[in-house]
Amino acid sequence: MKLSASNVTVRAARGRQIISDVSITLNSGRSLGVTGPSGAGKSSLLFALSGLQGTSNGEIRWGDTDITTLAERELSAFRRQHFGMIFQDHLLFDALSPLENASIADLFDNTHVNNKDHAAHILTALGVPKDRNRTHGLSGGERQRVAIARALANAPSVVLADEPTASLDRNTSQTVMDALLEETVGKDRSLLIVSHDPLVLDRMSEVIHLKAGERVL
Amino acid sequence: MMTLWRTLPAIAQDGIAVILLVLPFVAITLAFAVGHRPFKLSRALMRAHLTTSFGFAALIGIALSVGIGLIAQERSLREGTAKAAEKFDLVIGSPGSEVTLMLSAVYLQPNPLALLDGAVFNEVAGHPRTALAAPLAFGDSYEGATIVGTTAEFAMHLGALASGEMWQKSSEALIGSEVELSIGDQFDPAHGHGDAADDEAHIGATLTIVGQMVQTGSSWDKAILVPIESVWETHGLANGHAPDRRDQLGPPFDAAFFPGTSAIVVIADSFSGTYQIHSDYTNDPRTSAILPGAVLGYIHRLLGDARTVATLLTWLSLGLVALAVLVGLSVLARLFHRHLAVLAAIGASTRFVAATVWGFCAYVIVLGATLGTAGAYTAVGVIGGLVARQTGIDLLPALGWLEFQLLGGFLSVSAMVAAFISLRLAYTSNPLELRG
Repeated sequence: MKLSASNVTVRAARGRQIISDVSITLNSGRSLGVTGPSGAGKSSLLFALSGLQGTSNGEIRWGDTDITTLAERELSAFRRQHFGMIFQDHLLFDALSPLENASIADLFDNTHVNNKDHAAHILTALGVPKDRNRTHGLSGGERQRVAIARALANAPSVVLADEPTASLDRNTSQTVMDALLEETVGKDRSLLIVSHDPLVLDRMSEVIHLKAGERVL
Repeated sequence: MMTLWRTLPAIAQDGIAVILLVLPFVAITLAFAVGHRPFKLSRALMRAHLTTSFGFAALIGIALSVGIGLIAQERSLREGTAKAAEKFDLVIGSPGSEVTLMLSAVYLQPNPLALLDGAVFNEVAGHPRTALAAPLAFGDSYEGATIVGTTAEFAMHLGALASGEMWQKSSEALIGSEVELSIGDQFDPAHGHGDAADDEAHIGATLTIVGQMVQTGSSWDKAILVPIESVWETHGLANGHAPDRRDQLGPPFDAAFFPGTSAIVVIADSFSGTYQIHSDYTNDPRTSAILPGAVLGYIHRLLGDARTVATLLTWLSLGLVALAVLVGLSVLARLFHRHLAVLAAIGASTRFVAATVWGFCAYVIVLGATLGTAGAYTAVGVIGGLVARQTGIDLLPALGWLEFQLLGGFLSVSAMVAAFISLRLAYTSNPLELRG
C-alpha cells in the first residue's frame, strides 16, 4: 500500500493558494521528510494528506481509496484505522496516566481491542515511565514520546508527524527519532515528517522541499 | 389520559412527575454514552480544572440550596404548624381576631385577650356535644417559658406524662418536654413575658414541678402547665370554686367565683359535634369560635400562593444560574479546545468530542445538584432547629416531591443547554488549529 497525492491544490478561505499542484508518493517501509521555509505549506500538505484540510483540486489516495471524496464521518474512521498523527504540541490530557493517554483511542474505538497492550509495549520501548498516575510533570521529551505512543498505539500504516522534535533538545530529539523510525519504517510502515531540523531530515528516505506552496525539489 | 392520571394516587403522580422530569437527563446521557466511553475523559478534564469545576459546582449548589431550601422550609412550616394544632379541634374566645385567638391558644404567643366569664364557660362545658372543655389562663412566665393555667384533663389530652405525676395541689406544675427544669424544682413565676416580665410580682407564689409531659412537637413543649386555679390565686382572684370547695382543682367551676378565661379549648363528641358547637358560638355575640384547622388552612392557602410565586422565582433564578454557569463552562471548555481538536484529528467522532464536553458539564451540574441538595437539607434542619428553639414547633428537615421535581427539572434543562453548547463546541472544533 502506498499513500500518494497527485496535483493537490489547497486554497485558504479567501482563495489564496496555500499548496499548488503538489504530488508525492510514500511507499510502505519508507520515510519522507517535508521541509521548506515558514509559510511554504508544509503543515497544510500534511493536514491535507490526513483529510483534516480540504483540497480544491487533485486526489489523495491510500490504496484504492481517494480520501478527498470521503465524508467527515468516513474520514474519522479512516484516520482511526490507517493514520497516526503527531503534532508539534503534544496536547496530552494531564490528568490521565501516560498509558491512558497513549491508549486514548480505546475510549472511542472498539475495533482495536489490543490498543492498551500495544500502547504499553510502545511506552516501554520509548522508555516512558509508566508508574505515574498523571502525565502532568513529565519532561517535554517524555511528553512527546507519549504523543508518539498515542499515534502508534493503533498500529497505523502511516504516521504523519508535524514538527515532532521542534520543542526538544538535540539528545531528546535523537531518542525520539530513533523510536519513531524503529516503530514505523522498522516495521514496514510509512512515516512522513514535516520538519526544519536537518538532523531529522537526514534520517529520512526521501526529502521534498516546498516553497510558496509549490514543490521545488 | 387525564382521567387515568386523576385516578392515580398522589404519591404515584408525584413519583411519575419526578421520573418524567429526570428522563431527558437520562436520555441525553445515554445518547452521548452509548457506543464509546467519553466520560473517563470528562473526569480527566474535571480533574485538570478541579478548582474552577468546584467553583462552578458551588455556584449551582448555592442557587439550588436556596431554591430548594425555601420550598422545603415553607412545607416544613406548614406541616409543623398543622401538627402543632392537631390537638385543638375548636377554640372559643371573646369576639375579636381569629388569628390572634389561635396564636395565643395554640401557639402560646402572648396577646391581650378579653376574658370569657364563668357563665359562658359553664355553658360551653355543658353543651350536649362537648366531650372536653378546658379553660386557658395566661399572663405569667418563668425564664422564657409561658405558664398556662388549665385543667388536668386537658393536660392529659395534649399528651401523657413522660415522668412524675399529675398535680394534686394548685402549687404544683407540669413542664413541657423542652423546659429546662427538673421534677422537684421550685420557682416563683414572673408576671408578664419576655423582657417586660416582672420577676418580683409573684414572690411567694412558689410552684413545684411534679411531672414532665412527653414531647408533642408543639409550642406547649416549652410551656409550664399549672392548674388554672393557681393562675387565678397568684393574681389575687377567686379560684373558680366557692370558698367551701376552695381546694378543688378542675371542673365543675362556680360561675360566681370564676375570674375569667382567655380561651376555651373544646373537644366535641364527634366531627359533626365540633361544627355544631362552632356554629353555636360563632353566632353568639358574646363569643367567637375558631377551628384552628380551618384558620391554618386559610393561612396555608395564602402561603400556598406565596409558594407558587416562590417556586416560579426559584425556577427562574435556577434557570439563569444554570445558563450563566453553562456559559462559564463553555468559556472554560475553550481552554481545552485544542485537546478537543486532537481528539478529532486522531479519529474521534464529533459525537465523542461533544460527549466529552457534555460529560464534563454534567459532572459539574450533578456535583452542584448534590451540594445543593445537601445544603438545602442542612439549611432546613438548622432553620427548623432555630424555629423549634424559639417556638417549640417541630419542623422536620425533609425534602418532598416538589423539591425532587425541581431537582429533576433542573438536571434536565441544564443537560439540554449543556448538550447544545457541547455540540456547538464539537462541530466548531478545528484540527487546523494544531498546525505548528
